[in-house]
Amino acid sequence: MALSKDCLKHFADLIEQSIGIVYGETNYYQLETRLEDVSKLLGMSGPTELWEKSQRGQLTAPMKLLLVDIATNNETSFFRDPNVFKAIRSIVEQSREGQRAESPFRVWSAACSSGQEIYSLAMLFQEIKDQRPFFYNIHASDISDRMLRRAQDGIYTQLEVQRGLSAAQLGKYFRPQAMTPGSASDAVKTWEIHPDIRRGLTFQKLNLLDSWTGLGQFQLILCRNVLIYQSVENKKKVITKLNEHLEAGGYIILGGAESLIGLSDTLEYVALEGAVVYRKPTQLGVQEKRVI
Amino acid sequence: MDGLAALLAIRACHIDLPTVIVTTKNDPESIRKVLEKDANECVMKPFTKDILFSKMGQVLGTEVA
Repeated sequence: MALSKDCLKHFADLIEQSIGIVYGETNYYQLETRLEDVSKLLGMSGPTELWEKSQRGQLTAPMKLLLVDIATNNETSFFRDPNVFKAIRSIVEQSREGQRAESPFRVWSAACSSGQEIYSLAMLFQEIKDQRPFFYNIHASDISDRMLRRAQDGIYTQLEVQRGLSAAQLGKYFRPQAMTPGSASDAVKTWEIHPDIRRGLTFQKLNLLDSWTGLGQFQLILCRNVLIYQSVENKKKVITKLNEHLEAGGYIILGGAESLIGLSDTLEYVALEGAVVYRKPTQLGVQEKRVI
Repeated sequence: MDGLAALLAIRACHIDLPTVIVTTKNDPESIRKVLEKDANECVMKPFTKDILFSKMGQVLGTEVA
């Protein structure tokens, strides 16, 4: 049975108050599908039961947590938007000029989801490292405990590893898990990221709308397809905070459909390798291309 | 003739044909063998239509980034 608009608005408000993700009426169909998933996971007959429980104040804290967790869009793949990774290679190469090799390149993946983005970065950095001395740290954060656990585990299904990875990359950077014993094909069910690729990665649960400290400064921050779901006010708040953690001359990369127009007057728009990236000006203010 | 034999036959004719091998064998050794025999890419079962098309796009250089 389709949920009423009032019911969907109730859940949309609850999600917005908790994590700032806005479900407008045009996205109610998406919300309804996600509510169906939540109710299924909670063993309920459907979203109507979830709604009734919510009305009676019977949603427990873990139920609300799951609801908020499922509301985030976790769609991802390895090397999603290849131009972004070409741009990152170029940023690394630029940033290494005149730098001591042992000074690490610090990256923050602000919404790492199930980990494909951070491991894509780590594979790219490993390729750079194969050619020259290169040290890096990748800090991964996400609002969802479930996604953060998945990212830390670094285990992916056959379907997931084929989204964005070449067979050569799969063979080089992943180890097979769960071979089906005795089967004719000895089929691999899941793949685990190689321990060498995990090295240099740190993980943290973080709501970008909360206050956070102690992360230090980064040369690159990825916050792709996160702000798209936030209100303008929240977008400004998050960008201002991300900017505080960005070194002068460092870069922020957003999702392909996202833009900082009207959100920041300090970050510069730069087109790099066919990707849109934003750069924090250096004190000297040289190399600026266009100020938003 | 299996996929690997077909690949060898194609390469023996010196035809520069972009080749994607679709296989049920997804262990690292089988993947290595297919790539060593000069397949451009390998798709392992199970796969979806978008995965197959994306790999074909990569090999043909037509994938939209």
